[in-house]
Amino acid sequence: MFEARLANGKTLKDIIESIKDLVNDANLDCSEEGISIQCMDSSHVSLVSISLAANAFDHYRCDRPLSLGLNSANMAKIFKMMGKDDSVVLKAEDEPDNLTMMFENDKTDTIADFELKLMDIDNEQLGIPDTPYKCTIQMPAGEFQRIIRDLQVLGDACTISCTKEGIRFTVSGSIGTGNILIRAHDAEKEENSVKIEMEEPVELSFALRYLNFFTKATPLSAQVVLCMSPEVPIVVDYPIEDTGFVKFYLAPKIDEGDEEE
Amino acid sequence: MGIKGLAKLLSDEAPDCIREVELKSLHGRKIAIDASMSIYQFMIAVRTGSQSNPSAMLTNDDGEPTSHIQGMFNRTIRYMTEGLRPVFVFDGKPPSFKSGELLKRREKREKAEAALKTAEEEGDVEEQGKQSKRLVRAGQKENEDCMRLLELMGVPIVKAPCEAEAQAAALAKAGLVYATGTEDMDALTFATPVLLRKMTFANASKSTIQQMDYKAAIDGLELTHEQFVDLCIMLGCDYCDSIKGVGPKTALKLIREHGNIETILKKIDRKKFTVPDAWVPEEKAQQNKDDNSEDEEGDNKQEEDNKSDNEENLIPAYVQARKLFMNHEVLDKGSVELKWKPCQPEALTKFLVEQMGFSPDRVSSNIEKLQNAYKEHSKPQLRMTNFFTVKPQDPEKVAAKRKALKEKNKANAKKAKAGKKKR
Repeated sequence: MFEARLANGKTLKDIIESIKDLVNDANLDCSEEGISIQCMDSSHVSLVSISLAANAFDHYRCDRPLSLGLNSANMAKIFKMMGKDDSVVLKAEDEPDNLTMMFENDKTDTIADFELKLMDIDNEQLGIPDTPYKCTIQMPAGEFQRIIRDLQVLGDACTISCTKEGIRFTVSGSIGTGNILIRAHDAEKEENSVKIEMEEPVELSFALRYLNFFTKATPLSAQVVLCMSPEVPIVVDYPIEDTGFVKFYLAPKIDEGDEEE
Repeated sequence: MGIKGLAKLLSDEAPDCIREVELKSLHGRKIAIDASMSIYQFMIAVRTGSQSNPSAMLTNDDGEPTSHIQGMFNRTIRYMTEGLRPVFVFDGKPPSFKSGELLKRREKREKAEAALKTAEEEGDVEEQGKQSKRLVRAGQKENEDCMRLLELMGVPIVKAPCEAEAQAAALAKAGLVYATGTEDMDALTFATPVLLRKMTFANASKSTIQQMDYKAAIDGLELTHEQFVDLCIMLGCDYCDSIKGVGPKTALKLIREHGNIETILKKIDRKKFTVPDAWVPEEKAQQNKDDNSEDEEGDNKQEEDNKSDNEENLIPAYVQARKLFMNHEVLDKGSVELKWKPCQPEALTKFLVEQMGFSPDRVSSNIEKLQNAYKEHSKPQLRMTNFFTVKPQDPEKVAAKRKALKEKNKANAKKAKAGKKKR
């Protein structure tokens, strides 16, 4: 039996909303420690890893590990019916066919419950090593979202380079080129500052389409953390307070010649 | 063509090896495509014709067919636009051992030719179209046209010394390409790690491709590579006849039980199943001798003939076929170079417009598409699996799943049977 109650239901809604365009079907893994999702998009170019620890919930019970196969678009449809301040309860039997989702509102004394059909999803799980990155950039999530959205006008691929000077986003396309540089600075409000920790400069190229999908997680967190090392996927990390995260990994585009098979 | 009933057998017995993948997910992959099979498909599918006119191939002003060029041009652009990197593999000489199968095909052709004539006389339009399709043959000229076209498009080609599927599978095995793209199930017998089927995009909106995984296939069937090859021969391949009365299910059961064809031949009830003569040449030779000695005034000349043939004929047909599957004549890994170059727009336009009689507007817009695709994908997008390794699945879970699936299938089969009985 699995049962979890989250007072701030919006977090869960935003999590599902942030991945529904990127992945169709995903397994929601529930264990004693909390809930997690790991899933690749259909092209296997990007990967999303979500975790929400048990202590993020007001009430959490999971007798044995469960894997709930969900269709993210359908789950998002149900979350659309959730009120702004509702709390959410997730419930599933030990060998479930359905996931019960309950939205409770204390003010209006309403309880809505829904059952979402589950399915059997066979997806490959990747082992992601916990390696340190050469560059770590913290910046306002909203700012990152705006840059990615704006640059899409110019082209499909964006070069992100991190140097001492700051972080630079470069795009070139058929109509012209674009270049945005942000320097590290401290703002009055902690969440508006830009921090760069760097061991060595890194420059990588990425498909803007995917970065744009990632920025759908912006409502979850005030700051986004970008981690880069040469020739490995970038990590776009949206921390959820201290209890969880939504992390996106995106494989770079590389020049022909030094391609690995 | 191919292996009889293998696709069905795999989907029943080793469902894990077949997956429908989106075309998108193959971006950046190098794929060896069986060109001869594609040309053949185009010559059948790309046609003009209406209700009152028999369908005919597209031709240029000189009346030479251009269906294959049209098809090859468009499909290659489509592949490139999706980010795939195709390599086309052309057939070389057919293996001498295939002559039996080729002979059969020739007979069919002759029949179709006759049928076409009758249809023409009777003015049966539909029948005319049908029979003329049966007469299609991808000859030397068609192959050369396509090679020229692909060269101008900057797409690499490989001329196989023998069968294209075998060469494509060898390229995939050597890691030069990711998969073999053909409808021919043979490729799996040649042990291509991955086989892609239905890469035709007949329906643009629903472009899923069937991906078959060799490793999962033999694991699912619980066979070794040698046993798998024997199984394919038992099912019926291009190179020899198979035992009459043995269908896919029985063939799999026999191979699982006995391990190879030699043992099966010893064990099975030869009265129930007719083994082709070519599989047991010694017995046949023996029998002939017996016949001859019985007939005292037997034709000496015939006996001599038998003798001269004997040396070669004494090798059973299935052994020959097995040899073809295991050691096919292919180009060495080192002698194949795969390079995608930008296309040559002027030469390509000249070739298509002047020689093939294509519309200049359409050609130029397609060339533009091709150039864009080339440019866009010159920086390949890597995938997650380039960096992170796939975690092995919990074997217990997999076993449990497989069992559940089998039971489900059984239940379904029972239901189907019960349904039939009622009727």
